[in-house]
Amino acid sequence: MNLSSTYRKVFLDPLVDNNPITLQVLGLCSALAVTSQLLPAIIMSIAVIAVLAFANVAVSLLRHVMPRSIRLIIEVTLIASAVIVVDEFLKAFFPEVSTVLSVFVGLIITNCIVLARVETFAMHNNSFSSLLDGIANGLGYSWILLTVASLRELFGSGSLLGYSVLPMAEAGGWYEPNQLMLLTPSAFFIIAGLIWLIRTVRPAAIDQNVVTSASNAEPNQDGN
Amino acid sequence: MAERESIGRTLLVAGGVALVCSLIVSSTVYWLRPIQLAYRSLDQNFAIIVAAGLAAPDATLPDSEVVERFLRLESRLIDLDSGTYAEQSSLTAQTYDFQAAADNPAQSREISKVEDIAGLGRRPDLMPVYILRTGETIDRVVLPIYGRGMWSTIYGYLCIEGDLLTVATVHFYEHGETPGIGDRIQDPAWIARWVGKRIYADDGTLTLRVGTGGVGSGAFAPVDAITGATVTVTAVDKFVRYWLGDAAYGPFLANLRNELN
Repeated sequence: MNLSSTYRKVFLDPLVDNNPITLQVLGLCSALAVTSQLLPAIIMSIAVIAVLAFANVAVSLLRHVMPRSIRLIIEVTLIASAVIVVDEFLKAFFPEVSTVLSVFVGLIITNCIVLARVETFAMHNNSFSSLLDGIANGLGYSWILLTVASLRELFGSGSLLGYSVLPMAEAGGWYEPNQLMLLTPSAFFIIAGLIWLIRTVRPAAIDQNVVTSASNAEPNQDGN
Repeated sequence: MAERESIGRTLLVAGGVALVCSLIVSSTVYWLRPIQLAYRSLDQNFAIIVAAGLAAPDATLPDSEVVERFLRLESRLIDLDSGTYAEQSSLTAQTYDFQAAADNPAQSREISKVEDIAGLGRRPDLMPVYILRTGETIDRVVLPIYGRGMWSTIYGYLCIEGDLLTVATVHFYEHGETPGIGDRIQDPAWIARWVGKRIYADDGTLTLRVGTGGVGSGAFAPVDAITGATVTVTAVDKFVRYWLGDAAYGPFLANLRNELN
């Protein structure tokens, strides 16, 4: 496998075939909590992508220096720093959204996706492919989050990004909103539906990945 | 690889990472603080106009509109002990920071054990109040209140009707209570239960109670508790009663009432 196709695989794999939410079923907490509207979900997605990219690159750069005995502490310190920086940025420039997201930005620190990528990928790969891996996993997380949030806001509030799409019955329109969509369980149902859909459309890729994900998803270009 | 796992190396890497990370975090906070504070002061003004009934809690107003509506209110600084206005040339309600004053021994005093039902410890000598008037008549008075909740200090504004006896509304604008439980102190349905509650009886005794058990007797005007948020609601009860009592806004409100009659 030549270099560029390796990178392509590193980038494309987490989007569908090895998606952190639908395949690895990680990061569900925030996927359930921040998806009742689209705007917070967009901001949350950007925050997770930024944290994943930073943490992956930082850990990858330090991977030869880090003593094994304290590697988890160092990884979490780096992740936590990135999350605090992101949180402060949100508080300064998106104060309203920051209020809506409340603790869930801080909880990116404990988002399993971040630690999983840092531990299993960035510790063994060069910084460029770690950057790609971070962004790609962030995007894999994001498109699920945005799909769930779009569906929930559209059918729960009849709007997208706050703009009315389906005129609500209480405001004189015809759409009777589905209250379930405003509640957390609806995110479970939608994610379950997406997992079903992805596994039905791409059964071959999924099965192969489940068996060999360790060798497939983590190319070792630098012989580490 | 033995060297990589040595104690010296471990300490060096741990110290280095900690140092770099703390520098990144603290410089971010340092650079962003002014922007956050500017938003905070606008947010304060917004909280005050919401409490005064000049804006809906969920309204999205342009910044200039928030300032314009805020300026319809008369901002005064009062001395809590005497209940009189206490502006000085260098000190007005706009420049005064009661949160900072509460920590400053020169601008605050220790609350005696008997008076300190809310466990505040100290309180500022001066507090800002916001009065909405039509001509000479007082429509509403907005009073800042705060106190320790379950996890955090809860900040809010209590708005009193022009009769200076009943609650117009209340608005808690800052807290760190449990999401989904204690944070329901911001729930409009709960806020609605405050409206019209009688604060003082005719003889001046404090009749407002918030949510504690056994307050159903006719002499009191209890606001219903929030299920599951007992600690938060009890804390709100205590600091609301402290601030409305003789040790805080009591003398000022009594003076204003005398002005009415």
